[in-house]
Amino acid sequence: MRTQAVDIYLEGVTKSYGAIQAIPHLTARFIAGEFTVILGPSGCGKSTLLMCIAGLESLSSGTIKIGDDFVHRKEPKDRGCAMVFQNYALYPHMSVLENITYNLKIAGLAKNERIVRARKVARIVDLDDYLDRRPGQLSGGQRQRVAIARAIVREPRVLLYDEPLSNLDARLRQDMRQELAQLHKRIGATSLFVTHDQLEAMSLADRIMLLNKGSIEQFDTPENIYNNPASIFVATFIGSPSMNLIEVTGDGKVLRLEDDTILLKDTVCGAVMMGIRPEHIILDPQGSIKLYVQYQEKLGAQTVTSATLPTGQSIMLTTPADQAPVQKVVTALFPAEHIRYFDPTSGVARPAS
Amino acid sequence: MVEDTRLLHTAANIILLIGMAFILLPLVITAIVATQSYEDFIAQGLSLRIGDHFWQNIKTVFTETTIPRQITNSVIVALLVACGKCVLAFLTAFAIVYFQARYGTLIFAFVLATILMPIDLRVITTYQIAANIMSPINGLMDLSGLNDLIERLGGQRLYFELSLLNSYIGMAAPVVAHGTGTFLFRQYLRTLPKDLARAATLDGAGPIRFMIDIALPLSKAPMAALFVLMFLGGWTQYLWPLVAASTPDMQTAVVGLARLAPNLEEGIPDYPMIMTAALLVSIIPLGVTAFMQRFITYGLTLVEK
Repeated sequence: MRTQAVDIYLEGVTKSYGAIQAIPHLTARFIAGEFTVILGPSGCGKSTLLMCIAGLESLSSGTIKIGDDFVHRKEPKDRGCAMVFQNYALYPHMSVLENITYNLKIAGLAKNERIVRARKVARIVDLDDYLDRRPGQLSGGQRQRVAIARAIVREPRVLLYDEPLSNLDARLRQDMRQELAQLHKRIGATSLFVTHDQLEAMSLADRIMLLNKGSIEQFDTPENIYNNPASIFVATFIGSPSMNLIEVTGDGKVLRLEDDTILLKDTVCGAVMMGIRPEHIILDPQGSIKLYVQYQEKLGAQTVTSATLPTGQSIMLTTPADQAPVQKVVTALFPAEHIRYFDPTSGVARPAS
Repeated sequence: MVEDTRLLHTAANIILLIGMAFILLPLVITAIVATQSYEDFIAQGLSLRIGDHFWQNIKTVFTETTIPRQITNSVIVALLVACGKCVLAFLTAFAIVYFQARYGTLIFAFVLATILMPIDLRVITTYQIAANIMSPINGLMDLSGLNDLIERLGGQRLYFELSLLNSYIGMAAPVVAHGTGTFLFRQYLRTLPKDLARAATLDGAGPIRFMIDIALPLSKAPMAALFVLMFLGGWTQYLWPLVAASTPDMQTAVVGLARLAPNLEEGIPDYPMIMTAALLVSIIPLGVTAFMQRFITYGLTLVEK
């Protein structure tokens, strides 16, 4: 089963609750057949956006187009969207089969046809043997599969996921991530996946839309979001530990810290925020940057070291476990190709010089 | 500590036993008196000797009183009250929980306020309305001047009249609207996940469909609890049926039971027969209680939450 994937266009979408603006003004295009993750901290409006697309919340203004149809005035059921909810939202008094076929029943499909289609999706999500059970008799992962089966059984043009994995334990979450990725390849519907978990976003997404207070901070591939964050917000939100940000001043030749210590050579001028990922810092006896080791977290394969610069500002560096610093004071290099600059007031990234 | 607990248990048991005796003793006396004959009762007064007149007394109740007919009345009225309350309470709660009515909270406050206005308090007004349920319309037509207009045009004032007194509907309707049931369902429906309604909406179910297919089946337990409690309440209500029904064959069993004892001036009433009737009247609520016990406990805990 493959559905005809379609684009989704959001044009000037706004949503406010009374005086509170959940989404100030949002324009975006989700490309047909892509798996887009909408990522952001809690309260950033990502779930609201999903509800608006599904039709469970009305827009304050703006338009939504799915394929060639403007849908923002249509009933939820007429939009061709299906949704998987965070707490599954299965009907507890119905069997798995009834849960999966409820929307087909409402759509008026004959019973035989309903059962045939339910069996087909049950096989896809590995639920063949559980069709007679009640949701209460299933494990968390199985319930989530029922919820997915219920969503894909009517072959929707758009699949919406509202933090579907957050109720599962870590191990199961990883398995479900892989299953979802495979499922998406198989079904091919345009998928929007809301989460606050950057790991989920990085591993699942074709593209990530990073929201902050209802506005898009960056909408790009996971690689670009990680390597070239568009703003300080993105830089700190993505990556664990997050990108180190150091206030520096450049005079065209070198960059200095607040206490005039020379950090490295670069042609950047003026006060800038310099960013470098913890894993890109290289420990080198010939390095020019002095680090005072404070604390180490040994995570097995990796070691996360917390250290301070001469100014007292703390920075993090991750190294393979066997290369972790052992002395109290070490010297390091910041490789130029991994350094990113941001405007310290607006937070916007400076184009690579 | 073990000894202490045992002592505590013993003390608690004794208190409970005393309480049980206190409650059960009148019932035991009722049952015993029901077995005696009128002559024995007159001769001996209140005695605890079990007589052999029980079947005779039952026969008397069935042949010489309207109690059997009134038990049927009670069943009908109690069923009407219980069903009416369940349906009305569920619909109200459903509307309050699932529709974002602008004045939802205010409406709910009004619903709760009905708890403060039991039938005992509003019996006279309720009687006036029940005597002619059109009276508000009449009043409105008088007030608005519409009736003056009609009088000038047609020469006669309009006056509607429809009495619900002495009818089953009349006995049940005024007590059907009750805040407790609405409150119970509201609390229950709010414990259901919000996404359930959203999922149903995306599945294409409208509000009515969602109510019938999902909310209602999930509310079976509180529904049963409310039904039992309200059935018992409808069975034992006294004041309103007393006022609303004027003929013996429309009165409920509880009212009929009270009417069995005439004034003491006319001689000592036939207490053995009255006690037998009391036992007969208790059988149905007793059976319902026994059969639906677990729902009653469930309902009470739900209300307490």
